[in-house]
Amino acid sequence: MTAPNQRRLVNPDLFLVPEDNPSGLRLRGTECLDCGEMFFGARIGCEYCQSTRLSVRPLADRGVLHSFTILRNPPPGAYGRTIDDFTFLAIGLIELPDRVRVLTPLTVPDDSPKIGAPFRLDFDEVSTPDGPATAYRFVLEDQDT
Amino acid sequence: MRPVIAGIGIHPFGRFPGLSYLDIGRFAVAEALADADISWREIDVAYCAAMFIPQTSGARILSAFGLTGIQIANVEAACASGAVALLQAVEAVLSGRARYALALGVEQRPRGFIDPSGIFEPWQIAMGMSQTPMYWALWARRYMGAHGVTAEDIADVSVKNHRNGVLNPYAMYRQEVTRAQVLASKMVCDPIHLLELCAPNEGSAAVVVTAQQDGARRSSKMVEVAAVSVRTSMYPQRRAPAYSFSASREEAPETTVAAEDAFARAGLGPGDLDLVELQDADAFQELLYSEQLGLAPEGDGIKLLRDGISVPGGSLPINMSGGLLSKGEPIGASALGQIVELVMQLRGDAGQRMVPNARVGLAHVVGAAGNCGVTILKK
Repeated sequence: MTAPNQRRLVNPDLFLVPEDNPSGLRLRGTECLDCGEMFFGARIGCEYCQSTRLSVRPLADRGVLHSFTILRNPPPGAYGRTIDDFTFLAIGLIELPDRVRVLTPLTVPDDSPKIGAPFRLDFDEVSTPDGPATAYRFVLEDQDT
Repeated sequence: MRPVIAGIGIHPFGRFPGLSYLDIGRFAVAEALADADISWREIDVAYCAAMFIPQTSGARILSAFGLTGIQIANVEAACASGAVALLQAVEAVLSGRARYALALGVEQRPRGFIDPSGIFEPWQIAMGMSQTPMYWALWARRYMGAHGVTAEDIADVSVKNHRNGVLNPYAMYRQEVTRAQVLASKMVCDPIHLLELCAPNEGSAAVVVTAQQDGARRSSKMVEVAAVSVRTSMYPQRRAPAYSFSASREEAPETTVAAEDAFARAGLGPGDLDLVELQDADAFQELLYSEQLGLAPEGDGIKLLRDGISVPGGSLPINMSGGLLSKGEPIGASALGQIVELVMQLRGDAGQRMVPNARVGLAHVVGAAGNCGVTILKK
C-alpha cells in the first residue's frame, strides 16, 4: 500500500490511510471472517483457523496497558531514534477493544506506568536505512482531560 | 529398536579469545568419538546445530576428521537448534540409514544483546522493539501480579543456579551470588536484572547416537533417548518477533505441547523424572517453564524452590549444571550441552553435582518463534 501523500511508512502493512483523508492514518486490523480472530497488520490467512476469508478495517486508536517493560539500554541494531540522551525506552502491550494487543513503544512521563492505564495512538518519525519514516506509538492519556 | 547415546563430548562454555568455532567444535567431536570408542569413518551422517557462525560450518568443522563423503547438514531452530540436530540423528539411526549419527552444536556469539537483524524486521529494529529479553519481561510482569511472585523470588532462582554452576567445570560463571547482589545488579528490562540473564558466549557439545535392538544388553555408558519432541508455537504466538497478540485466545504453549508429546512417546510422566535441565535464559523463565512442563501447577513454579524440591538434594533438582545462567547460552550448542549434562548424570559421572541414582532426566529449550525441544533420556 502506498500512502497517498507519499509519506513513507515504517512498514506499510501496519497502517491504513483513508483515501479521502490522507492525514487520518490508522493502524490496520485484519479480521478473520470465519473465526473472528483479529490481527494487527496485514495477513494472507488467519493464523488461528487458517481461513483466507479476511476483512481489513482500522483498529481502535485507544486502549489500555496490558503489560510493559522499561529498556534501560539503547535497543540493539539500527534503532531509529537518537540515543545521545537515552535514559530509558518503555515498551508495552496495549489492549484494544478490538480483542488484539499491539506491541508498541510508549510515551510516558516516567518509568512507572500502571497496568490498566489508558493510552492513545500517536505517530512520529524514526530513522531507517532508507530515510525517515512514520512509525506508531501509544501515549499515556492525560487523565485530567 | 531404541536410540541410544553412545558417546558425548563438550567444550566448556565461555569466551575463548584466539579459538575459532572450528577449534571449539572439533574439540567436542573428538571427545564424543573417543567416548563412543569409534572412529570418524564409522559416522554415517552428521548434523550441526548453529545460529551465528558461518554457513556450512558443520562441514568445515568435520572436514578435519576426514572427507568421508557423508551427509553433513547445518540445522537452525533458534534455541532449539541442538534438539533438532539430536532428533535428526535419532531418526537417521532408527530408519536404518545410519549405524552411527553425530549431533554437534557449536556457537560463537559476541557479548551483548543478540544481533536483532537475524530475528526482527527492520521496522521493529527502527522502533526499538528488538531486544529479545523484553518479551519475557512483559510476561514476567503480568505473571508476578497474577501469582504474587516477588522480585526476591525470581532473584532466588538465579542464586540457586549460580550456586549449582560453581560445581560445573564446563560453566562460564562459577561463582555464587547473593539475593542482594542479584537485586542490586543493573536493571536491564524491568523486572529482569543483569544477574538474572544468561550471557551470550561460545562453546560446543556433541553426541554420538546409535540404535540398539529391543532387549539388547546395553553398556553402562549408553543412555537411551526415550523421546525427542520439537515444536514451534501454536497460535497465539507469544515470542519474538511477534508484534500482534491475541486478547481472546489462549492455547497450550509450545513447551507444554512438546512436553506432553515427549512424555507420551516415552511412556513416562513428570513423576518419573529425577532431574531436569530447562531453559533459564532469564531467571523468571525457570518458574514459567517448570509449570509448562507439568512439574508444578500454574502459578506454583516458585514452590519448587521454596519447598526445596528443585535444589540439590531435592526430589527434582532443576538445572544442576547451573543452567544457562551459569553456563551462558551458546545458542547452537546449548541444547546439546543439556544432553551431555544429563548423560553424565545418568551415567553417574557428574562429580560433585551428581544427582544420586538418577535414572530419568528431561532437557528443555525454547526460543525465538517458539522453537522448542523437549528430550527425555533414561538409563
